[in-house]
Amino acid sequence: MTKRPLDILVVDDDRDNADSLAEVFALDDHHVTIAYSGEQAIEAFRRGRFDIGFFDVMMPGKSGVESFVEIKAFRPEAKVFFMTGYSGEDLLQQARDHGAMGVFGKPVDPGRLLDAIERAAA
Amino acid sequence: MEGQVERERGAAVRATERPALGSKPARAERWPRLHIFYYLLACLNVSAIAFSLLLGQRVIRAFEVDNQATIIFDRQLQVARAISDAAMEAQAVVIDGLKTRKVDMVEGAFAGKIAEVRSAIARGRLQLAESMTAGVRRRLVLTLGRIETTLAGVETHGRAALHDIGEGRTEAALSSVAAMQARYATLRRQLRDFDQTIALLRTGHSEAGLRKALEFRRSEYLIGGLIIVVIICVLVYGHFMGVLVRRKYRELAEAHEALGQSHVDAVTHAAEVQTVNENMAKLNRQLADNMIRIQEMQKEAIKKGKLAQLGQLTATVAHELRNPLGTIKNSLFLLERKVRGKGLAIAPQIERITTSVGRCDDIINQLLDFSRSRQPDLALTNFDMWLEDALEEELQRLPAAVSLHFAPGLGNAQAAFDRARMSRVVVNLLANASEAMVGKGDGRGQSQGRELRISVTTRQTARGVEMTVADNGPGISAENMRRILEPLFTTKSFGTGLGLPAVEKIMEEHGGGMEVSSAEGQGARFTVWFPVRPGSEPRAA
Repeated sequence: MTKRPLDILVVDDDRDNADSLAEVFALDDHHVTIAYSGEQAIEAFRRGRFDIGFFDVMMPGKSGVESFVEIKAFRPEAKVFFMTGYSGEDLLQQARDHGAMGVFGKPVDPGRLLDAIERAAA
Repeated sequence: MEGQVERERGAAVRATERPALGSKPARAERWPRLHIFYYLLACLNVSAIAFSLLLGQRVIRAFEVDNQATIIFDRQLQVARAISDAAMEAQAVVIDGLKTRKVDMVEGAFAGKIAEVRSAIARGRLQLAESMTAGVRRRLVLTLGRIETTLAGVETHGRAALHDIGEGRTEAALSSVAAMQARYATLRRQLRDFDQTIALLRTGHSEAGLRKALEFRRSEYLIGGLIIVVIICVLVYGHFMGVLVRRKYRELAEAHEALGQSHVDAVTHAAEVQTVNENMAKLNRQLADNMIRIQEMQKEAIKKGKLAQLGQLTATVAHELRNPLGTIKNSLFLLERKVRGKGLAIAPQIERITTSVGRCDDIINQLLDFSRSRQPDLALTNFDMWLEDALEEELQRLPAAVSLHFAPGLGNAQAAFDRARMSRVVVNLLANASEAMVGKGDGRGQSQGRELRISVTTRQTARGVEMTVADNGPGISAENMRRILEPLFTTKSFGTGLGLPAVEKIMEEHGGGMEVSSAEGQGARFTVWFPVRPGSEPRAA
């Protein structure tokens, strides 16, 4: 199966988590950019384009959902999945309302994330 | 408030009683006076009757006396006539003797006539002795005495004349006859006096009778008046008695009514007191209930407070643990990919790490299920369809030895429930059933050659939607059954003991509940239920 390499943005304040996930995607030859905060994620989206984003929800500063809402304002076509350890249902509902692709509960099975990428890219 | 009302009421009762108490003796005093009046009236009546009887007696007596007097007067007159007749005949006999000169024949006749006169006088005397008032009798007896004396003269002269005739002394005989005639004339005069005396007496008697009659008439008037007075008095007495009796009866009726009213008042009062008592008892019960409720609420608040703290702690821990768990998973994934096909034979270790990560995740989930407390996010959903999807997903996690059977019984019925929370119920119940039968790979509950089966059924009942998860595992002992819903109670080597309490909690949040039935060796049945719509009343079965 020949896969088109994608530009992926991984956003998580937990560096280990962000880095390991970036490695998983990199293993499948995707171009991965890492942001360790919501602000960095917004900045990254302003500078470049990403096929898919994987956002942690609960982060110091701007939350994943807040950042997503901001990004959606100038990149309506942005495709973002959320990953959450534990967060309020309201926040997740807000994300869905703004067109989030889906929500994964942590710890996420990396295989499922790769499947999701394939579905999103298709 | 109630006490004040009672006091006012009591004052009113006393106020109405006071004049009644004051008026009673005055009324009662009238009765003895009336008795005296009645006795007086009776005395008057009796005296009128006595007077009347006495008057009657006197009238009868007067009538008798009058009658007797009349008879006596008549008899005396007859006596007078007999005397007069016999005396006249005696004189005529003497004169006949003078003419005939047959003295012997005449003497006997003369003596007979004189004897007749004497007999008449004696009869008159006898009659007078029997009756008449003393005064009248004396007068008549005196007259009769005089007549007798005169008669003696007549006899003496008559005899002398007859003797002289017999002797042939005509001169002397004529003189004796003249003396005899003189005496006879006296006798006639005396008899006239006698008659006149009787006539006078009769007149006097009649006048006395008239006077007596007048007196009787006066008495009669008196008695009549007395009777009229008595009758009037009786009428008046009767009238007043009637009035009095009517009044007494009315008073009695009023008293009776008052008594009845006071009885009714007493009954009403008693009923009020009872009502107040009942209300007090009710209030007491409510107070006790409220205190119990407050205690329960306090406990609940403390529990909730603790749970909220626990929830917050768990949420933080969950978040903080899940990130490293994610990192482990990612790293394992990378390791597995990197060593694949290099003959390092570390697959079992990788598998073990994966399982352990999974178990850590389960523990976090159970902690979250139990400690999270929030209103379920209800959405109308086709329960059977949703459950089928959920079971499909869970089937992947169940050991291969366990078969899962689903018998939907709700049709297209929709129910309002929180899908995320309800999925935790399904996960927990399935895990519970599966682990009871095959354990978590720790060697417990082996199949021993029979089919390990989990049956999931749904149905609509009076209380709403019911879902039963039944297994044919070892079942639950009576001892364990008592403790099955205690948080942290577990029979497993790796269990938090929070799974079933979490299920019960989630069902309660949906307004439903959970029931467990089991016998050791015969599997277990967990039935959860919740109303079709929140707050909807259970329909009659």
